[in-house]
Amino acid sequence: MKFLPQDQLEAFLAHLAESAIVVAPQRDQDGVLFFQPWEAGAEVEFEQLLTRQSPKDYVFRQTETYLKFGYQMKGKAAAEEEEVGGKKSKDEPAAEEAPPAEGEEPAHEVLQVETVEDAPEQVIFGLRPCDARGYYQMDQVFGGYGGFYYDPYYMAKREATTLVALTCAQPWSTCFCTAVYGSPSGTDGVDLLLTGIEGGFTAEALTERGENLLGFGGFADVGTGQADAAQTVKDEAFAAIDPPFEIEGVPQGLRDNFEDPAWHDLQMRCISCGTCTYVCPNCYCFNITDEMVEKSGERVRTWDNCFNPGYTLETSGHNPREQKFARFRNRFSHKFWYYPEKYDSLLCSGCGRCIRYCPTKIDLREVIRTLGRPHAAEAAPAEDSEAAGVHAQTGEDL
Amino acid sequence: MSPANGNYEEVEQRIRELARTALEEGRVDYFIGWTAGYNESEVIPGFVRSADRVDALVWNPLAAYNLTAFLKRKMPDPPQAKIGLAVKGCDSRTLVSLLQEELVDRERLYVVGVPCEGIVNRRAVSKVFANEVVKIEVEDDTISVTNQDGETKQLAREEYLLDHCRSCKYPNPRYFDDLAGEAVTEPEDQAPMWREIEEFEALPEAEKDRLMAEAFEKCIRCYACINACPVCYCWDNCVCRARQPKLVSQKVNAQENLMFQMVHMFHVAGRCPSCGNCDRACPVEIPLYLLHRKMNKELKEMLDFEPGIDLEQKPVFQTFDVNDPFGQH
Amino acid sequence: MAKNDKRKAASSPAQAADFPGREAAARGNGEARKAPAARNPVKTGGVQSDGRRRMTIDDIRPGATIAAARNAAGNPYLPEPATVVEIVPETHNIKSFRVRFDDEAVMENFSFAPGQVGQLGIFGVGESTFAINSSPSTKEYLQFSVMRTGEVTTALHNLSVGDKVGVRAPMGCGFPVDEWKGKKILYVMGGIGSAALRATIHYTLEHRDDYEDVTIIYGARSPEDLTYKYDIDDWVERKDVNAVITIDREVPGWDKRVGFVPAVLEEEQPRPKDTIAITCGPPIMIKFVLQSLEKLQFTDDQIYTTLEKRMKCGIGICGRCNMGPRYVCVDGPVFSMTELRELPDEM
Repeated sequence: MKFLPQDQLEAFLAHLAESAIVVAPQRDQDGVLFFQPWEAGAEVEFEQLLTRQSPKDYVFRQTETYLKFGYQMKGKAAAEEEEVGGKKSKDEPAAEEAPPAEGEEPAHEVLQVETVEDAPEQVIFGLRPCDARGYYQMDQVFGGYGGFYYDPYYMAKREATTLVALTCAQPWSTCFCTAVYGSPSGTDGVDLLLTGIEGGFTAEALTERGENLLGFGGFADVGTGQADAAQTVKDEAFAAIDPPFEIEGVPQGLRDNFEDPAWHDLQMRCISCGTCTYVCPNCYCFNITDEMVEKSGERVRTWDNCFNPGYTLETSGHNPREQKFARFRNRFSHKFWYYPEKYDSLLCSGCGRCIRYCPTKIDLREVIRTLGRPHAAEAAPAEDSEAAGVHAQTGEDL
Repeated sequence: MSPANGNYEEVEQRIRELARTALEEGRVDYFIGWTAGYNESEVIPGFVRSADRVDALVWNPLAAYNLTAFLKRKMPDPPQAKIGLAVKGCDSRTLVSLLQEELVDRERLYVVGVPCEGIVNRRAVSKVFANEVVKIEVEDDTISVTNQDGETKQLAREEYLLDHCRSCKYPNPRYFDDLAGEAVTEPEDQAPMWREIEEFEALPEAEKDRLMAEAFEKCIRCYACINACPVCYCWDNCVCRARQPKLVSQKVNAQENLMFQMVHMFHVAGRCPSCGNCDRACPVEIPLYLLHRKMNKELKEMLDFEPGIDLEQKPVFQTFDVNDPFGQH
Repeated sequence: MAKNDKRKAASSPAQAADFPGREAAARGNGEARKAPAARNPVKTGGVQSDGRRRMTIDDIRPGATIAAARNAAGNPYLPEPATVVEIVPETHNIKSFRVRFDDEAVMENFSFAPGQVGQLGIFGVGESTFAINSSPSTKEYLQFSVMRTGEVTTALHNLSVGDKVGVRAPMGCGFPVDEWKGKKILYVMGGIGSAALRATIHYTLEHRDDYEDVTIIYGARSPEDLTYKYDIDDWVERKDVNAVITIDREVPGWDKRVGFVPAVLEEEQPRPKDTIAITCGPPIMIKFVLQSLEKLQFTDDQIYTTLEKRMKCGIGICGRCNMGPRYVCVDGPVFSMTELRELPDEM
């Protein structure tokens, strides 16, 4: 463990910026906190706990170009066409008027395809342990955990990314990381963990990458009591979060309650937008589309979400999740049942952004409390009367 | 906007009574009002299906959400539900727009009008502290904001109301079945105020472009704005997400985002009274209502039209008048 | 204090039983970061917690799959360039496209299991998922049958011979044709559903000695709506295949059966003993065929089908083709009725 004095913070950022893009929380023109590329002199904000969006965009880009391609005319008639600038219709037979002269290539369209690689070294600085854990959980998906495919676009960026996390000193009322096996000082995915204490930050390296960062000259050895002070910050933050639900049994609960009418009640105020999924550090569903202008274009991946009508709409017009409540149900089921079954983990790190930034403040904690209890547990004598009470209260929409 | 009369509790009681009666008499399957959110700084839409739960409904200057957005296609559950709801002045104007175009069935509606004295700009208020705001209270002309450390700041109510509340002409609902409480005094000056739009219009073109790019750069295309919009009703068939025709690319950048927002603005023109629901739904705080205010200003100036003022009014884009001032421009 | 108790509870391994193997890492706090899974981590089918085996791409033998090779190479999203070599009009709105990979080595090494699918796409329009319906033994081309409905399918219908396409294949799991050896095989299909089963039919007919009786019940709205007329003639002619071809309504000149597929199935009275029934067609037909099979006393483990969902990535990542915890693209598209019954009903 090392100590970074407060007055060395900017120098440390500048040091990191020498060899990588540094991304840190900064306010925009409307005073909203976002992760943005940092430049010397820019004001970094660590006082506010969470940024509006998680920093997932820096690895899992909202718009990621997979391929670039273009159709070009080659051979005879290509030049003429260029001149007229006319767009050749596909149905027209390819220049048949005159047979090509000896040695001349007949006119034909050539397709060129190239892949796009873009993975600069970057340091995401000052993200919270729940955000780091978001990456960790997406890593399972894009890294091929459990025998699935490896995603080169995500993984190239991920492997070029260093995460410098900051222990949460004062959780918000919507924080629930401790309910989902996380912690305000959790280290999943974290390379270097900073904890704010008087006069600066303690710094713990969790990985070799993190260890390398400690080579910066501004670090001091931890002084007497500093390690204890950091531990106190961590313990107090952990204790400040009262886990709103018991995670054990939730996957089974969601399975048991798949047809429960409470899904209808809980989704009444859902407007079926994608806010919860786009501020979430874990949600990773995406769309792939071809965007074409004239004769060249790109195949792009863009974020998508289970509330989007086109997400499951089949070409026949049939939509397996036609109704709003089914889309709503899918999000929670994916996080707490489907993903755990495939990747042996959870797809929620408890940041609470989905509650706070939802236009109608849909409360994930309430959904899990209401629908995450397995039937067997309910049939058994109530060993946890408190939780049972909560369930009874929230069975209705209000 | 007149100062608060402080009769929120009375109106709240009245809303509960009207909701209770409607539920008990079976006139509605559920009633939509406002209720407490995850802490005392939030008021959210609340759905009540049984009369014994009406006490969860609240009315105070944090009740921002325009509940008519829950009348849109696919929102009612079950689809043919008879719905009761509370509407403020601006909310009622979107409802009137919907009724004019027969987009909601009047027979299945029970509307409780709520005279409104202005809604707190929660977004601005919550920024007075860096850490979490846990409580917002309004008393007379003061807004008290409390953070998670228990510190409280006092703000002048007038300065922290939503922009469009400060220039609101119609604080009393334009359409309702029952009114919860006394109508409030309508402001003397009946001319709409376009201060913020005029300021923008006066800027040099390059500066306008820069501001627009800056604003739409951060759009994340979550579509909260259009889904929260009461008068944007294409739902699953929005052209901005369609592939056939392909008008808006799925790529997320300032240009495409602006294109998407322009489609929204033009498509709701004539129905949208700029209630601001899109703006408040936006998770990244793009000042969307300015777009719609601008459209409202143009409608007023070119066609002398204000959306959603009364039921008998003809939707502006379904009428033609040779004497439209539009032709004089 | 209660909070401390909760903390203790969270660190007890027994409490984390829902998430085997991850409880330690998931809690964080001083645990070392687990490196992202290694490149090309495809492993042979894992066993699910419920004891069922999850098929993966490696289960498809012989293992020379392009997708797996691409995976090793690093980009499962990059389509293999291919050229349309022949277009066979099937019905008024269905065309079959025969395509060859431009890289001869790729063409030569290509193999797939019957029932597997591929992503066929046009650069600039997009990709869609179709069953590979040429015979697995055909080395000259891959055949995909496309009904004109949406953006991609319309663009495909506008292609001419010689046009370029992109193919990502094979994907998903095929039918367990090896497990079926020694059994009677009953195909029940309707309309374009034949496309999903054609490769499998060819496979069983080419390995005819491995199976007992083969019955094909195939129906369409009218004679014009029947696909693969060239196959049908062959099936009808063959003495070792019981081919029952039906149309919904009588038309002049039709000398085969008339009636809906489920009704014809019941008339045929296939015996369930040692029989595997494979069905594919419009959802409404499948629904009634399943009822008929139940009536005929087929059990769930004797019934297989192949599902259609909107797909994008095709490799189990993008999220949309799920039925509960299963992705149609990697866990399917082939499912037995036993498997389907365990999944939430989101057809």
